[in-house]
Amino acid sequence: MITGGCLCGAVRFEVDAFVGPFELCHCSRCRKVSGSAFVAAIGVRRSEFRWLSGEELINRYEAPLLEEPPAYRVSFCRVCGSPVPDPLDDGEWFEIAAGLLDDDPELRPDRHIYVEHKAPWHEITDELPQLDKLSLRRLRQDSER
Amino acid sequence: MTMFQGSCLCGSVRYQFKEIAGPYVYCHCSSCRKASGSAFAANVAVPSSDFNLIEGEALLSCFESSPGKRRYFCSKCGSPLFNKVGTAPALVRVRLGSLDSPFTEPPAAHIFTSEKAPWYEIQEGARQFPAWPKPEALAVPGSRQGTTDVPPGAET
Repeated sequence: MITGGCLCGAVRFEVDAFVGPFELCHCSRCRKVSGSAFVAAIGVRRSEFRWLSGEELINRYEAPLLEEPPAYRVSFCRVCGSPVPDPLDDGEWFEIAAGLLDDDPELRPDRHIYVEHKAPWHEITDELPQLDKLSLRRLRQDSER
Repeated sequence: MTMFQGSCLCGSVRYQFKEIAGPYVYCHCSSCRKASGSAFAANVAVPSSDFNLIEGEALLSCFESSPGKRRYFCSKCGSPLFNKVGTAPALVRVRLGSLDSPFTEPPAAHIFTSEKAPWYEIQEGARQFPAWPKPEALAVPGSRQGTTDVPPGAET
């Protein structure tokens, strides 16, 4: 069991196990949401995720659609602002910001994504694959085949 | 003179400032990780006297994560924007992810690596400190460095 929560501790959740993918997203929206160089998004099956507390304190913001749906959406704790899990949509899995986790998710990042939008002050120096939008789209299409 | 500008995800809150005061660090402490959802926070110090909110001040929310440390975020979209530390009122610490203006300076160090996420391996060349560096090793403007206890031998 892996637990996690926001900075103020009001919003809490638990996860049986993470399935991935585990992606470090450098897009400009993720940088705004984190205030940092990237969001670390780790995939979890909906059936393996449970709220423990604070669901009623969550606010959501949906950004204007840039290209095709779904729109970029962020859920955050209205007390402290931490980006919290957002399991609202249909689909087998969704992503959680790994910075919220109290425990080791036992997975490690798979890749950097949207690297064409990377912050100029941040240098990627590890060996992980670096995907731009097109190569990420290709990867997702291949994995769906 | 260069003017830096930044904003939140929804664009409701906008700020500007003239200069960045000295080096900055990536902070890997658990509070910074929870506030960002990322592996670390990246904050630059800016003189309070030339930091200006140009839009959306009424939409700012603030969370005091420890006595005197106020973290400001947009109440509409949640984006973390800056923080203020009671012991260093002359400086505002701006979250680099919110910056819209070009800025290319790399961080001077990683701090609080003792609380680092197990899933993130630090490979960037900057120096690493388990907690706050001693001020003589690296002065971090706007921080509460020197006001909290640094464990003996904390500097690596």
